[in-house]
Amino acid sequence: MEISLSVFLLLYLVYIVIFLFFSFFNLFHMVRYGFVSVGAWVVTVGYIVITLLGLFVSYYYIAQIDWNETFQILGSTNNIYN
Amino acid sequence: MYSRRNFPNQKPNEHVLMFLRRHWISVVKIVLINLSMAVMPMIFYIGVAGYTDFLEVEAYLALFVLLVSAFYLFIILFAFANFVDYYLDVWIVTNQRVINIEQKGLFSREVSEKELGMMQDITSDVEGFWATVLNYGNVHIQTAAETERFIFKQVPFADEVARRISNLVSEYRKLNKDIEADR
Repeated sequence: MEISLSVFLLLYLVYIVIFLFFSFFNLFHMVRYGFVSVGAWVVTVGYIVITLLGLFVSYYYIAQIDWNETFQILGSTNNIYN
Repeated sequence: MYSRRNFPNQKPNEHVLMFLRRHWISVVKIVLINLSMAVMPMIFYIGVAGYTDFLEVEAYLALFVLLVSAFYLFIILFAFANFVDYYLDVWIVTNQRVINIEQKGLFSREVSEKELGMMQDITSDVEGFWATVLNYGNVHIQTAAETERFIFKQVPFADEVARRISNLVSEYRKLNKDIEADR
C-alpha cells in the first residue's frame, strides 16, 4: 500500500498550527499576567527566538525532501539492512 | 505585565511586604527534564544511522525529519509552558492581606485573597532531602473557611516566611484593635 509523503507533511503542518496556537496563548499569559522582570523578558524573547530558529531549521531540511514521492508501508523494510 | 510594587486591585496605602515564588529548583527541574528529552533523538540518530541504512531511504528520512522537528518543537513548547506555570504562580503578602495567584494549566487561573486579620493558623513544613538542603518548603495558612485556601508551595525559607506572616497578623490585629479603641 502506497501513501504520498505529502500526507505526512500535511499532518505536520496541522501540528505546527496547533503548536502556534499553544505558543500564542503561553506568550499571551506571560505578557498579560506576568510580573515585570529581566528574567521574564529574557525567557519570553528567548522562547520566540528559539522557536523561530527551530521552525527555520525544520524548513531548511523539509525543503530538501521531494514530498511527491510515495511511501510504501509494507515491502520496503527489506532494504533497511544491508 | 504587572509590576511587583503595583499589582491589580491594590488598595490605598497597601504595599507589598513579601513577593514569593516557588524555589529556583523548579526551574532547574524543568531545564533538566527537557535537556534529557532533547538528547533522545540524537541517541536514536547515532544508533540508527551508525548501524543501519534506515535513513538512506528518502521516505524514512522524510518521516525522521518531520518527527524530530515535531519532537523538538514540543520540547521547546513544553519547557516554556512549564516555565509560565512556574512564573505565574505567585504569593503576595502585603500590609493588609495575603494574595494567592495560581495558574492551573493554560486556561485556568485562580486568585484568592484574604485580610491578614482572618488568618488563624500558619504552619510551615520542609520535607525531603533537596528541600532540607536547599531550605524550601510549604507554608499552610488556615482561615476561618472550612477548606484551606492558601498554600505557599515550595517557597524559599518557608519557616521564616511563616514566622513573618504570623508576626504581621499579630501586628495587623493589634493595629485594628487600637483603631477601634480610639473610636
